[in-house]
Amino acid sequence: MKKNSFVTRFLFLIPALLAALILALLAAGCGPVKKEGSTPAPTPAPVPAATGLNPRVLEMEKALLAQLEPLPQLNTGDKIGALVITLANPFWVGIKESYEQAARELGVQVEVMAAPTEGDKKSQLETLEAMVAKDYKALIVSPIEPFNLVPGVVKATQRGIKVVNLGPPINKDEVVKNGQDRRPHSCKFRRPGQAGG
Amino acid sequence: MRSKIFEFPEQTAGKWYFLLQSFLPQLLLTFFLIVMVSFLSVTSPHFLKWENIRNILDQSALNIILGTGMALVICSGGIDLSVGAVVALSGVLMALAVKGGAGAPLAVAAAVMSGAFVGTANGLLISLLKLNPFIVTLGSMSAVRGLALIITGGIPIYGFPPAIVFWGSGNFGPVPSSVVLAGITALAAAFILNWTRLGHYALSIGGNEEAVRRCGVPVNFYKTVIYIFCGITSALASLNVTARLNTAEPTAGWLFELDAIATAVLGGASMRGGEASISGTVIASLTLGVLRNGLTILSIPSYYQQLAIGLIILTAVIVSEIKQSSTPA
Repeated sequence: MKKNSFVTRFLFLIPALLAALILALLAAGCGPVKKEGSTPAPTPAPVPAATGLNPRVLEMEKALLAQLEPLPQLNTGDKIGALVITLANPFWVGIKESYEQAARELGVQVEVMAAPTEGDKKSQLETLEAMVAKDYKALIVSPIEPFNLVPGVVKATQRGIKVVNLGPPINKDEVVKNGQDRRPHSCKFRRPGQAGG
Repeated sequence: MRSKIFEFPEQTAGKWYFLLQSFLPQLLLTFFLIVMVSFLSVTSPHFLKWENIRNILDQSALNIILGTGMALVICSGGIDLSVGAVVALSGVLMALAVKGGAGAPLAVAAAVMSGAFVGTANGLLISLLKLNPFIVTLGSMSAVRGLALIITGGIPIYGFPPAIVFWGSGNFGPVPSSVVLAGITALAAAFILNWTRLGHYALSIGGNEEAVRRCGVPVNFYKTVIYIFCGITSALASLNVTARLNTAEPTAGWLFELDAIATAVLGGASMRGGEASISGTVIASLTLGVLRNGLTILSIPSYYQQLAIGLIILTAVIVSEIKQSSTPA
């Protein structure tokens, strides 16, 4: 104790340094995200350019748009959260980029989060629960499997956040059951694909 | 409370200095936790909402349950790598019991029994055959995971009765049921470690196994009981995570053992044995929970979590090493 008491006296410096490092990391991490989200595009172009596309596809898109309700107001700056499966898979990186591009075109902010790996169902649920605690207007979720996001979706609907299910379907019966177990009122949940953006 | 036996503080050192020294890892961790919480509550308006704090508690519960069992094993000089695999196996057995028509209590009992069984096997192999705990539990990790895969054919089993789902996403009033489960586990572990013969022998075995054996203590028995305790905590963790996801699957609990070891070591357990702290483990779990939640709240990709957690663990090891070399052996 005598020999090393000099060293021990300065031990408090180590976590302080570490805290500084991690805070710097947090600051570095959240910097670019904020910047990206807060720059709305000057020219909204909701209708995609018609060049080079298969005419059948355009026809189908027109028919689809006719069936949907009229598109909501653009450039509202609303914050929308999207949860994909994992960014370790290029497919979901593509989805993330499409979300961000669509957000620029429609004049909203979108933040895309993901689970660390393809099979990490628990982390995906935890990420969704943290997202529910934030002030998103709507959430777009792509669950790893039909059940893992159910508690998070129930929390979101109880807070009045609209949830859209894109990609792998979530088990709707389980969401309703889970919601009714907690609170007597019925759980409003949109069917997959009903309100795709 | 940090437990360490056979410690002879020098009379010349002041009482406060001694207290500071013996609680150093927990104090540093608490300091770090406070810094992080205050930073996050300033940065994000959503962090300090009750709903979010509830999330953090709910998500830390799993690590608390796993970490306390691991802390006991580590303080006895061992290690248990089969924790994640036991989570998978007991979840799968619980699901099979439910599908076979058993009630919720019976299914949970089956899960706990399977955890205890794997713990017994680990403990007997390690203590009777004097095998290295790292290798034994590495083997049982693979064997148990394989068993879970064979039983289910690799396919997840969905759908549990409300009585089981309650332990994953239910509430006791405002408190999540997982937190209650974690609290009970942590209190039980703290009681065992600090006030029972088992806990004292575990610490002594970690300090000097041969000396304890020559004192006439049935070392093999106590070592096995410690591994059984770790198996049971894994089964309780399995109850929590299986109920939360409403799914029992053979790949559940992937790498949970690493999280458990990380929390136990961060909380002040020494990999050389002879030292562990349940309160430290709880604080460590909360720290990791706050870190994960904070990064998500700030919309930072999950890859930064791994970097940050790694840095924290390395720092913890450095601090505990310096502390050990400065205390009289």
